Amino acid sequence: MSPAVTGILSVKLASRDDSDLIRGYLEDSDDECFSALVVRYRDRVLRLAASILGPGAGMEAEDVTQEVFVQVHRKLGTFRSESSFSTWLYRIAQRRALELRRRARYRHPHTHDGVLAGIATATGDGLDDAVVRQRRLALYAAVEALREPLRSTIYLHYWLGESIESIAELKGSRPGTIKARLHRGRKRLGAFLETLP
Amino acid sequence: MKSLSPFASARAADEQTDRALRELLSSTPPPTFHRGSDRRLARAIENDREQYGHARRVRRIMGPYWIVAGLVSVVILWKVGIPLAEGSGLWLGIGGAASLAFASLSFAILASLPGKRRRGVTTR
Repeated sequence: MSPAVTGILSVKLASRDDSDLIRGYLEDSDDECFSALVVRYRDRVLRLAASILGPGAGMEAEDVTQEVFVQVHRKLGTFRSESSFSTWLYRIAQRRALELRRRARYRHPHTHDGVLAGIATATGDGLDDAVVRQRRLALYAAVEALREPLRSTIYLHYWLGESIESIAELKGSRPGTIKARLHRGRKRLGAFLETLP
Repeated sequence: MKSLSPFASARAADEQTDRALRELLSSTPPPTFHRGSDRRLARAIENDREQYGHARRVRRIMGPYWIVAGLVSVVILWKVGIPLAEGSGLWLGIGGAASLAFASLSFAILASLPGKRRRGVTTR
């Protein structure tokens, strides 16, 4: 397995579709096929996990990604192809990340350092800086307080720069649903921003 | 001064929130894989394969034994429980036979369980 994941995958493998790679792995025990699936999807899984865990939880998102692929490796034989492989994979990732977030909320109630560093980047004027910083902190707390799936949709779009179509694919929803979620999220956050001094 | 229509003001508020979110979140770096992530994943999969491969083998071997243990339990209940119940009282007989059956099934289940699952997937 290790040379398979770390090695450079051949163009031939990269061009094969998911079901072909799954068959190759299950029937011919070809580790390269599983590695091709990992390489194809790991960034997307990482981003999906990060959007649920929030900024500053990069290590946790990476752990989730790893656990997801271990689980996929174990359960690949039970995959029935009723949905696409990516849908199945993203659903596993989403469930795992949500589980971890629920547990982690009790352990890490503070704002992550990475986020604080971003918030600190302000205007340069002392008083303005303080106001901007306060507003940003409050906005970050408001985003964190949003319920799923609004929060992760906001993160996917504004933090990770994913397009509407790409978010729809990750979430297994229609683009229209994602647009509506973004609009609802902005509306709630806008209402909150208006209450700030 | 001309005031904004409700639609225009809602749109302006939406754009303002959009801007605020971009300013807040664009400065936070996106997650990336660290060096060694691939190796870590490969190791985790290898561990999992060894551990669950073993568990699967044990289940395969122990599967028939489970069936035998179930049958033995029924026979114990029937052949030992009922005579005991007739001789020494109903509850003593049923209790004794149920204990034997339970012990037999427990042994079968315990013997077929894999080792405690390690949380060693991450070795950071």
